Amino acid sequence: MKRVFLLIVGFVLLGGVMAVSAQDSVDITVRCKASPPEENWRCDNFSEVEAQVEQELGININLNLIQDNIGWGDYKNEFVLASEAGDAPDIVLTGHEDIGAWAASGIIMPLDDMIAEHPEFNDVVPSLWNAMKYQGVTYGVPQDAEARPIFYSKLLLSDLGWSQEEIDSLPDRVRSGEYTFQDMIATAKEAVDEGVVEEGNGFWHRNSNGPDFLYFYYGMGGQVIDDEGNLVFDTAAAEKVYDLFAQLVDEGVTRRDMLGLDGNTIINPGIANADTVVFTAGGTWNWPNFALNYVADKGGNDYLTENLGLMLIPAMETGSAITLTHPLAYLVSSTSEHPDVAMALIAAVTTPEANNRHAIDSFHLGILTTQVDSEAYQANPLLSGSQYMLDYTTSLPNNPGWSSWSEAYYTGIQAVESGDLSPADAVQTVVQQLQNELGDQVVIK
Amino acid sequence: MARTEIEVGDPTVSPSLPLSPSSRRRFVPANLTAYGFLAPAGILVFLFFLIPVFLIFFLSMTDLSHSNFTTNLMQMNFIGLENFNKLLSDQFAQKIFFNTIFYVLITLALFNVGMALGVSLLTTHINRRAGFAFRALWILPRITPVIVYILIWRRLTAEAPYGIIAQFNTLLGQNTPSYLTEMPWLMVIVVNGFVGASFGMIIFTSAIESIPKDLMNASLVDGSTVLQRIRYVIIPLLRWPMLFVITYQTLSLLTSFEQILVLTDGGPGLYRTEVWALTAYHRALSTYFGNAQWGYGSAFAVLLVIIGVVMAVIYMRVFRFGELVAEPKIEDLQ
Amino acid sequence: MTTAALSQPVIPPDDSISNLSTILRALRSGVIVVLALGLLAALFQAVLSPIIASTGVEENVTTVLANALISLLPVFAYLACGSSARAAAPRSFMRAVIAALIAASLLFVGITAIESGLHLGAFQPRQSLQFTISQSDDGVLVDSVEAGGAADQAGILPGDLITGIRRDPVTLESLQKTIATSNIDDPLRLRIIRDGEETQLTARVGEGTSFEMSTLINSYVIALAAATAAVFFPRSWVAYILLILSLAPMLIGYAWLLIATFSVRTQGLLPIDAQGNVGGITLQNWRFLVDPLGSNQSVWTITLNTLIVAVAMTIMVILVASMAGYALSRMNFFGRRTFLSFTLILHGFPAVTLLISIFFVLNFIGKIPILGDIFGYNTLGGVALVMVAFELPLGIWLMKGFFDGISWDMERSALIDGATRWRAFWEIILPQIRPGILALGIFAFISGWNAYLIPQTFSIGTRTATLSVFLRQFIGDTAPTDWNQVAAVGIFQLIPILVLFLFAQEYLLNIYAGGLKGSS
Repeated sequence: MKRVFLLIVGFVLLGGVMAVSAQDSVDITVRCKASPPEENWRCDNFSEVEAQVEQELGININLNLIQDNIGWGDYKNEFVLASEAGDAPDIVLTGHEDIGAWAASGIIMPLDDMIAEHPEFNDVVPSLWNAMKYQGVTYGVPQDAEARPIFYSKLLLSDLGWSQEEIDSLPDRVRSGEYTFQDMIATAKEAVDEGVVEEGNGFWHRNSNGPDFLYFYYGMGGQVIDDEGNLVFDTAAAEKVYDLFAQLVDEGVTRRDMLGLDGNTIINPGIANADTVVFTAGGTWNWPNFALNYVADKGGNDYLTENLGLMLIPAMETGSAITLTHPLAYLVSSTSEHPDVAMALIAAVTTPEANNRHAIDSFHLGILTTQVDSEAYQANPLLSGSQYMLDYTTSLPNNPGWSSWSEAYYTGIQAVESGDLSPADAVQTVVQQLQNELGDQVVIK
Repeated sequence: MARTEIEVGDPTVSPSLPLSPSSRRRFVPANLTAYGFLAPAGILVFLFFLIPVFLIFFLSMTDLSHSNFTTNLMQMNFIGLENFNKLLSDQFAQKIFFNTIFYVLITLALFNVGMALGVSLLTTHINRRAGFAFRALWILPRITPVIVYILIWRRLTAEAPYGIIAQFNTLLGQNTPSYLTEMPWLMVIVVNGFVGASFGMIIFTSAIESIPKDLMNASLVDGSTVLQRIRYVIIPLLRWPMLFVITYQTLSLLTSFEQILVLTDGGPGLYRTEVWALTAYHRALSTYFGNAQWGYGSAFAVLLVIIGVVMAVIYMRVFRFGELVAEPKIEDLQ
Repeated sequence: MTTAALSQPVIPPDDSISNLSTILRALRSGVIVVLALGLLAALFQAVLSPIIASTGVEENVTTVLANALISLLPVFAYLACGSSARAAAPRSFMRAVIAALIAASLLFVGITAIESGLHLGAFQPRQSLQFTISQSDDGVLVDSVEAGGAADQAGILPGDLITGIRRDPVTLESLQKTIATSNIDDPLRLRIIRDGEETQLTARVGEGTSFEMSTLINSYVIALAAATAAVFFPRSWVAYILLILSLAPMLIGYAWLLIATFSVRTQGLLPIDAQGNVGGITLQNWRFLVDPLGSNQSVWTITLNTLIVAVAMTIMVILVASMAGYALSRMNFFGRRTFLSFTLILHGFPAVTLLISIFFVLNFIGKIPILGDIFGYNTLGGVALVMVAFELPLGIWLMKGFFDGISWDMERSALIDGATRWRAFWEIILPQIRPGILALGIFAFISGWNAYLIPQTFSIGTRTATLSVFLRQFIGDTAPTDWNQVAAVGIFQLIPILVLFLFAQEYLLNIYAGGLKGSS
């Protein structure tokens, strides 16, 4: 029985043995979320530049990288809790939309002054900085960017009788606004009617809440945030979005069970094999995953290139094609003891060389102007061929109330797609929910 | 229940032995020793249950979220009952409430009690080793990581060509419905039921096994059939375990949400399979874009806590709790 | 099978009369089953369903159950015929079989009449393309086309060679199945070779003849087989059959899980390679055993971590809970009732709703010097304490029950002999409740082994990496997940506790005997 005691004492002591040795080096903790292995450069890039920064600053950096792939919800809670406990990592990588809530609670640091000190940051694609700001102050440094395009199946379009020329020119016709979203629905409907694909497999969209649904709202001319920084809900634009989703399911183009459909059993193999669905709203980062996980034995990347194409979201009400970027950003904790060192590290990874490692492995778009022209980037036809999408991009707002806005807006989509509510009723429901949860933080237009 | 009659609380066994005069423990107040034994558990329960429960009542009256998070109670915005007001004026609160009742009642009836009773009766009437094996299989769903368990069900019920049921159906030339979208409630109930049945199964089996053998044998000598024995000997003796399982599992089902979260996430459509605990989770911990509304989520949790307490009070009444917590007689020693 | 099977055997007085009475008995039980199940189905469909619908719950569980009852009803009825025929004629199998067959046939006529009225079973309309086809070496050959039928309207000609539907190649069998499982008017895109050239045509599934003799014959064979089987079927097998049937989804599901871990992809229970043929067996999904796969630690380190966490937690839970249970069972003190009631209520609290407020507590502990470094937020000690605390409600009650169940004679004599309370507890009482300790230990070990939420929430990153945390690494919310990989890791995590459970089941059965008894 004494042994039992020893074990307990040992277990208790184990908790205590986490003393960080106090050397004269600087401890920097970096927290990243990455889907291994292709996104691992998010954190691993720091160890590549560690020696270089140590030399520049003449100090010894003790780098602690924490990288895993837990859910975004857990990940974000963790940083908020750790900040309160005083254990926050110095650098945290997250979606830019957290800047709104976290800047408001003061757990991240304004970076404008320090950004000015590092020339590396001048190279960042200017439009990306907009997503890093809350009330005019910059709180983050872009880490990666992506486009959310539509994947189209070349195989199925040719089954439908399209010529090779028509298929190849599709992205350009979409880009020019000639081929609209309604045209796409018509093509998808034809494919369904002709039995080229099964009913509901004309157009697929994301199967759960996420940034993607916002581009429909933008495409219908909606506005999320006004000039004073207030959240806006444009009922006219929202009703058009809901009309569109009702049309998609009513015409049999989209499956009624699209939301909640099993992504890994049905959606992803369906897209990657190019034999199930004509058009799918996806994201550029899907590509290497598809190659690796679904068609590896069919030729991987080559199979995808041969049978799948990428295009912008075709024009809706506004008349021009669109996409959405959800840049991830490095933020610096306001409890960091060495923000200057942290920023030096961030600057060192914001170079074409470092960022290319991440962009190419994970098929994220370049965030630096010189990177786009670099040889390694140009050598990848997928990346260089999609870079134009950043010119058509939109992004999420940085506002503490965004999360509630997005949940309510998404509720409307769920309601019309399942057939539970008509588009007009869905707008009413969403407005009610927004007013209930956000009160006067949201302007209903 | 012959075997359990001799209990500590049995008044027929009265401790009347005189105390040894040399006993030194006479001078140690009994209370102190008791508190010593209780201390570790008491401290843990105080720290990680009692304080948090009071805190959650407090938090439910604040607007705590990611954007104003603090652990300093003084710095929080106290907004009174506004969260509850919001919650009750939520247009879907009523639907979610009835969903929860429907889910708990049906799952309880079909699986947590019905299936559990069936399985324990069957497994106690076959070869002992085989009975062990079947029960071990029934335990599998409970000890499998939820994600893997749900993965299995998703694959069982997926559409052709991926689904396993679909494959059998195709062999028979039958159509396969899209189970998860066309009958989401059935899926939710079956999936939770297969996890839930094992609790009742363990309790019932152990109760049946503890029925004195002579009682069983007597019924055999009477020439009664297996079904008659079940009806007239076993079922009456299972009254208490049955009530225990019903009440205990009602509470467990009320607060369970993880399987539903992974399986349907409350969908498809508008809150079709959303239950109360899942809503608390959605509001409090998991929104895709962060900024969790902890204050508002706590209001949902508070209601769960209140329902739980009411259920537990009923539970204690049903079980004549007074007898369960009867004062131990051995104290008379000191 | 039914209540009729229970009735006491009757000794047949006269052959001809008893033959008739046997048939009537069998028929009666069949009809009773039909009526009982039919009524139950009607109860679900016509009573429960509207009641539930009136509360706003959108469900079709009742309807699905009612339909399932209706479709299983004939088989149950035939089984009842056989079973009751055997009970009525226990001496002669021959007579029982004949009676069962006659009764089942009569019942079959009745059921078929009902089916024809309701357009069920053999009288259901079925899907067809209205052409005749046969298998040839290169594909499915169209032999003839019904004028004005579905195939004719689509422009299919006799002599066409069908090679595929959409992008899938077909055989005669698969084409027939696809048509049979389509809905009326569904479009089917057929790949056709005509005069050596490939074209694609869209055919819409039409409605074929609405009565099929073969279906009717099949169901009659089933009726006779069921009735005969029920006569001969050994009664002792019934329990096994029922248990296997009830477990079928799980047995098949776990079989798939195992198959999936050795496959690139699966369709149904079969592993499928890139060309869509059976094959594609791989060990890739198990490579996590040797390759850390982007995680910082090898799976063996994590397994060791998990084992340490689970064992340590088990020991702490047993010690703390048995001490508390002992005090609650054996001693009287102020606050005893309150404490007991409170711990009972506790089990109803979902851990997730308390997480944030527990953080407040851990954060507070973290600010205390020294103690904070051991038991605060983001420490192994803190995580352990919370996990132990969550096991206590069950543990304390279980232990108290076991202590209540053992006689206190030995303890009393020890105390009288001058032993301390602690010694009496540690050396005399504890060894006596070994089954209880083992039962609680198994529960605690399983929850420690599977712990996810608490280590995840109260530590940064994967400092307290357990297998559950490792498993979640493979499930991204942005990237697609390799589910076969997840299946392999899941099985790896499952095996130890399954083995443990198999060996320890006997102790779990003691719970009722010792622990959680009600009153009485």
